[in-house]
Amino acid sequence: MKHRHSGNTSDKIFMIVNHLLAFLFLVICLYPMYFILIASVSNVGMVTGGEVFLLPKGLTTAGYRMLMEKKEIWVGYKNTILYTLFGTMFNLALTIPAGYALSIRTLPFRRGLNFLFLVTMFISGGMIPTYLLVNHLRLVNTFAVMVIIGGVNVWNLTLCRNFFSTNIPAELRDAARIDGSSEFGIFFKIVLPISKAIVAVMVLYFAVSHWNGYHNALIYLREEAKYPLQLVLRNLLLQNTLSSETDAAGMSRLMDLQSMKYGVIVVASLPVMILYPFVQRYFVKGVMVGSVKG
Amino acid sequence: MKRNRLWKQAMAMLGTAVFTVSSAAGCGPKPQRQAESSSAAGQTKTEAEAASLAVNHANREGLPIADEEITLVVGVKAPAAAYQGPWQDLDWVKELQKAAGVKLEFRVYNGNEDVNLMFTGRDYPDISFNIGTEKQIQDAALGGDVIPLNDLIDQWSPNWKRYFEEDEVAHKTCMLEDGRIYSLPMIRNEANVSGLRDQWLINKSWLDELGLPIPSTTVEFYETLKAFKDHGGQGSIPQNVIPYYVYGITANIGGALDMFNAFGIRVSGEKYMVTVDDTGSVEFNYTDEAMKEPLLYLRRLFEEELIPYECLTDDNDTYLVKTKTMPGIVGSFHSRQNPDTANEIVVAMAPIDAQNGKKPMIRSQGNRITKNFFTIYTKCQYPEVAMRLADLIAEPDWSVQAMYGMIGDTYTKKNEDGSYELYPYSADAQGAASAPMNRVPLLITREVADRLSYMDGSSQAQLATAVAEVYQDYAIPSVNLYPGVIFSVEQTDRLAELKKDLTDYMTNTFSTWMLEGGIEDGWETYVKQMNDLGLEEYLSILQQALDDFNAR
Repeated sequence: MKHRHSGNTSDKIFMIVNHLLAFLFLVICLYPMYFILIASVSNVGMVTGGEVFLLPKGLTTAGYRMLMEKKEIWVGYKNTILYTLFGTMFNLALTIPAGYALSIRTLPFRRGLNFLFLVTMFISGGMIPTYLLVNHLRLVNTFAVMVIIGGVNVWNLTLCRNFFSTNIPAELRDAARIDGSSEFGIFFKIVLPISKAIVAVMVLYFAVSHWNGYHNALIYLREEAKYPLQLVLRNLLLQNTLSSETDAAGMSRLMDLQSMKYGVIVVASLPVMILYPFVQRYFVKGVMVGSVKG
Repeated sequence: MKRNRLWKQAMAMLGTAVFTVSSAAGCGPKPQRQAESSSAAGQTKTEAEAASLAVNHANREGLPIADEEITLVVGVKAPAAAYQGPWQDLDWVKELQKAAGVKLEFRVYNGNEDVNLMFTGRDYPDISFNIGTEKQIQDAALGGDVIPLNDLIDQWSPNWKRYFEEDEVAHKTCMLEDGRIYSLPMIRNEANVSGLRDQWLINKSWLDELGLPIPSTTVEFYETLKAFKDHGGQGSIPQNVIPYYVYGITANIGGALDMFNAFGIRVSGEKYMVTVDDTGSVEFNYTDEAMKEPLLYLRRLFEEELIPYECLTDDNDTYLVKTKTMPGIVGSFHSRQNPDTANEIVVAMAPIDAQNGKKPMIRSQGNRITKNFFTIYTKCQYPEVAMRLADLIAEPDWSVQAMYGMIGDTYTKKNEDGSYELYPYSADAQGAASAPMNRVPLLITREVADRLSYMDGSSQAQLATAVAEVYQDYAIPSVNLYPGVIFSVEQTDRLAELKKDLTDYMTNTFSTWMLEGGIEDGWETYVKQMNDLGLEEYLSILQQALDDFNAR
């Protein structure tokens, strides 16, 4: 009795400590986001002075008002949506069928093909040769480069392959074949409908990487009208430091620009944050099944 | 175009000019017709004919520059700040294109990475403005990818030709080792650009409240700071007063370097942290025994919390917010611009005297000439047009408008006598929405700079007054500043390595001394370590380059 009681206490302590630790990690993860949120509506002098910590201070919407006026941000937003939309479709069109094909054990040269894909994960062409290639293909500063570059991601391809090889038994395909389905019919009518989980996960992975990517844009785009949001954002964050040449009159406007930075981060992160809950239920199925058993 | 690279290189090396009618479209070889042949053509014709005859689409004189609309691809850097609009939307750019009859197609580069790719991939635009480090342009020039400008300047750019004839130093500064100019500089002679670096500012209204004069010696300065601290929370002095703020010890902007100058030790910050003594020798005074005195003084200010420790780690934005917010929380600080343009609450004070028998000084800077602002690459089909475009930008009206905003808009006014009135400079309100500012090859000569006047109440006007009334006698003369010499490729590489080691170690040591003391005990180790890190080699490279430069 006594023994069980003490066991209960230590269990309780264990649970409490566990919860505390989990809560602590949650705070560590959430606080930066929370800080950006409160900083975006606070007086920027107080933010820079380190006074804003838990609650917004000196409430203002100046940053957001300025954000609404900035044309580049909305052009960037539009570009990012287009790049993400078409880029993700292109990625899916390449990755899902490839993953399926490579998962079928009867595919000729399967091991060799897998190996060739894997090699690219460890040895890449390098930035300068890649740039030269893209330049020779006349893709520099085009819409297409933002869609095409990185069309196949081998890591994601491997996830797909593993998912298909564990979830789609060969018998299923045999049955379909006996019923008279073509190979394309099997893929589109049978395999895809029962593989929503992996498709959802791929949508998430690819969409997020298109949404957050700025490096390709930095290297391959030469025209401000084509910049995605993240590159606009990067330029705002990195280059818009206060100038030492500025007097008091200009300071207040520059201060608003500072708080606009936080506003831009909020606006830029929102769509991805909204996307997550919708695909979350597929997440465990899609990734874990594939990787744990594969 | 790429497949003709070798051929083009050969062309550039020969430096010859082959005349072909280059209006043919497509990717075939397009040799540049260079100034030599055009001058030969000019001599055989009467002046009127020559004037009416366009050479490779470049009209001899007058506007438009080109006889039919041609396009130049221009490599430029992305806007430096969020308040600057896209290049093609700037009014100045639109007007320039209209006047020149040249369409400018901008290729915007965002960082070092994509600029590096442009040079390593040899994927050049026709011309570039503010793109490329000195080394990148130098390498590209030596590789034959950049057109030497000497002949083009002679033939097509009276403004730059005259300027280089008049300003020997600028000419020498822009020449590479082979005696040729490969890139035009940006020239700015406004009094507020070169000359004094930071003003030493102090809160006058607090001094008045405490009944204190503006301190003139290090002893008085110390007592003033102490009084600020002791009276925190009284009158207009806030509770959390920062008596004295320095943005790091050795920072060029807002740092404590002027405290060293106050003790009579000449330091300028700037690019190489060196100055030149009166005999022409490069000097590095940070390892001078005399340096201990100001360091000990600063350490005392830190120790008694008259300078906050966090200023050693603050970032630039924090420095600006702390020093420029009005009403202020800082008693004294160093800044180029006085946040109080009326010069009533915060005022400029002369460098304090350490009473050690040496004359106090204050830093000045020499960034009149900024190199590599206009480069023409060998792939450009119309180098003559490009050169005339540079010449047009160098016209006083176009240069002033590029820097300060279009004449007739909110910020710039041109009077009938040719003088310009500039309205208060406040962040974006300098015409940044209409003008590219200091990102194009400006040519603001001393003569043009003298025609600029700043409205009362602007920070430029305040700065000009402070220089005239307070700092003129103290400023380090420009002969003591290390000029913008040319380094060879090897020198550039070695200097970069040495400088990083030396400045990192020095800055860290100084910061540690400010936090923990130990200057007397650590001095010898510090000097020894600096020598071990290659101080001697560093100075000998700088000396060698300076001697070569002076010998030109």
